[in-house]
Amino acid sequence: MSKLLIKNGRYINPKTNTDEILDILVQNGKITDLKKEINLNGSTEIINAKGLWVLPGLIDIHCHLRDPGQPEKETIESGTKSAAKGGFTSICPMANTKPPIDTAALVEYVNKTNQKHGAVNIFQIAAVSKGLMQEELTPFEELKAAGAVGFSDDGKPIENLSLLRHALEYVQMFDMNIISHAEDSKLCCGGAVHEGHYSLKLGIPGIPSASETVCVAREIELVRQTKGKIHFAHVSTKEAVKLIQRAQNEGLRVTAEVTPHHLVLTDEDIQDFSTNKKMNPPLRSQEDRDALIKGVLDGTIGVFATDHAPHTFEEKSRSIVEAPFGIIGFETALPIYLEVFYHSERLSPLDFVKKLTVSPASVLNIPRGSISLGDIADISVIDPDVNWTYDVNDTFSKSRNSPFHTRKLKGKAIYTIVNGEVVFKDKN
Amino acid sequence: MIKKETEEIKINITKPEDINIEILEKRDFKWNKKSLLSTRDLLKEEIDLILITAKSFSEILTRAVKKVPTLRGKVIINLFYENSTRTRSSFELAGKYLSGDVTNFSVSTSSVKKGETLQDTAQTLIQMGADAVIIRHQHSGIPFQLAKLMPENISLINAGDGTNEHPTQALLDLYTIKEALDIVSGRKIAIVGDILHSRVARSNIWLLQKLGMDIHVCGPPTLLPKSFSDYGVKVHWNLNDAIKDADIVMALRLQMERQSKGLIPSLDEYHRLFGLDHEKIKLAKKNVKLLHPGPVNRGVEVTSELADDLNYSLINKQVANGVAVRMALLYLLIFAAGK
Repeated sequence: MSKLLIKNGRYINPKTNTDEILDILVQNGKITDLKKEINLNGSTEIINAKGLWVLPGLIDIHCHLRDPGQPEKETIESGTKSAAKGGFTSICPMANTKPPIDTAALVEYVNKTNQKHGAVNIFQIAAVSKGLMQEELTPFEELKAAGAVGFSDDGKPIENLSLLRHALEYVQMFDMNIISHAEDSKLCCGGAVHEGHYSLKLGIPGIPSASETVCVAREIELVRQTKGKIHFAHVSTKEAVKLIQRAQNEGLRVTAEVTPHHLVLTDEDIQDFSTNKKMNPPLRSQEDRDALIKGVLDGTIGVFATDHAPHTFEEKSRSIVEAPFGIIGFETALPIYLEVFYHSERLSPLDFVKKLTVSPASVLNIPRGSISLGDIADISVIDPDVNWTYDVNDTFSKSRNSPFHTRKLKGKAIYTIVNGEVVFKDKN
Repeated sequence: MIKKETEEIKINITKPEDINIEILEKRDFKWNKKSLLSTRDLLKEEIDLILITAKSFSEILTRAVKKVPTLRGKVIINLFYENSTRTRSSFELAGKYLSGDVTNFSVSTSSVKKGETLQDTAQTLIQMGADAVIIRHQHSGIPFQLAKLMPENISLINAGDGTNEHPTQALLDLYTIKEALDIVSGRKIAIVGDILHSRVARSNIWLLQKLGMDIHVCGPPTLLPKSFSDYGVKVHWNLNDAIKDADIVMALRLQMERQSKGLIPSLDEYHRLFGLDHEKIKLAKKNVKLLHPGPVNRGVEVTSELADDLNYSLINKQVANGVAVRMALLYLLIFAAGK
């Protein structure tokens, strides 16, 4: 296998708390040398990373690849290519495909398909309940053995609290996480946007904050009861942040993630009735947005995710009430997180990178997230400062449902390297 | 016989056009609107012009031959995703009285389910040569989404979108109110009923605020969240407080499904607390007038006796005024814009 030398980059590895200019040598998919100046002769591919950040490959623990079952929206091939373009080297697709990922055979299908056609690593999330029907648990052990790294019925909340309790207990045998899509399906019933000033003004059925908050509260109590651990996906309300923080202070094993859109958009933005601003949980109020940013800064929310959720143009052409929830996000996540936390000087580069690497890896025990000597060479080389304009038609995703089309962004992936191979290279 | 009719039409031709040209010349601003989606962005001058134009057109409705050629050769399409007899007929007649060619394009929800997108529908309307499209949809926002897909020279009129807006209803309500009150600024209107789910209430609130009316809204908290006061209206959960000394009381139609969804315990209780009758309306000003967008649930939001009492009720006038106001809007939006 050929050698790859990344020279003069700003090496940022939160795992070892390192942030300095270093050269990295990659051989046979691993990092084999790491020092101030590496000079080699012969057939070595060299990346000049001067002015760029050289990071552990970014990890997204929340996305939807729609494979198997909905190739008109996305496939493992198109989804992983889009992830690579966004700088991600490992992604964790949710189980709500058609059929849902609830057997070892389906996890194997995903992994085999990814080996053949995929661009980045997939660490699959399996369903908590068979068929997402909330009646019986899926075979956790088999699923884990096949490669599943966590369990979630994401897309829908688990209303059957008895089942959730047992899931939280049973999964402790494997020291794994249940990922919660926290919402009360009766309270949010029929809603399309955040219930508040703008839903009332525009007469759009609302999803109250309480829909998320009551669910977070009751699930925290189940964690207390079972001593299990839960990871709250896409937290969107200030009240949920408060509850999670309190639970963490009490020593409960509760973690949380945020999405880019909840940090830069609010319910004020829905006034044009654009269905590309319809997602679940919905864009909340300015106060909620501020609380999420604060939650990231004080450590309550440890993970940056995307909740990449492709839908077809036809589905998104319906009314805001009828259109499905969700937006694509792989290729805009990094610049938006940079905008909110790095360019605003809220987080240091080390702390920033942590939320996209070490933290998500630790939540799901994913054996990635660091680029020390001997580690697998999953590397993201990014330019944090380049200005560009997002054109959704350039996406590698099969879908175009983004609210960020034409948005001016700062920072993007230049090289995405998985197992020592360059899987994406920015054309400029 | 034929000759006589032609003559009569000829006489009719000049009159309203003269009136309107006069109106258009008098104004000190230019009417530029091609579409009406909301009452929120209407200027005060525009509101005045709509009402004056409607006044001049209302005369046509009293004639033996109700037709003027103003919109001859113009194609008006009623695009109704939601059933409606009243509003659709009102627009249809308004268009026909102005000699426009009006056609009804009813989109069954099933064809939408089969994959017809709004983009397809927009293309169809453009290819059919529509000059104006009147759209009603059961969900909020569709007229605004359609507007982005249509060229600006096609007029778009929102005839009710979900629980968002129904601007032509609000304008005909205002026209009716202005007939009853010489001055509207500072006068009190109480809007009673399911405010939360009412596009009529919303369009009226945005419109009547511009004219300085003192707006009070009333209903049970499940149908009227307190935060409605954010929009500059006074919120009441008690009917007596709401209608006390009101100049105008507007009752809204209560959708029967509100009970099955658990928003109100029973229609009886609703009627007891929020239904209008001769006794309760005594709290309002002596010559208070009653409006209702129709169709009335008799015995629920208002008693039959009160709805039919012409000392109070302007409900029939609203229907007639609706045609005149819609004629004015079709004329202004299709014909006068930019002139």
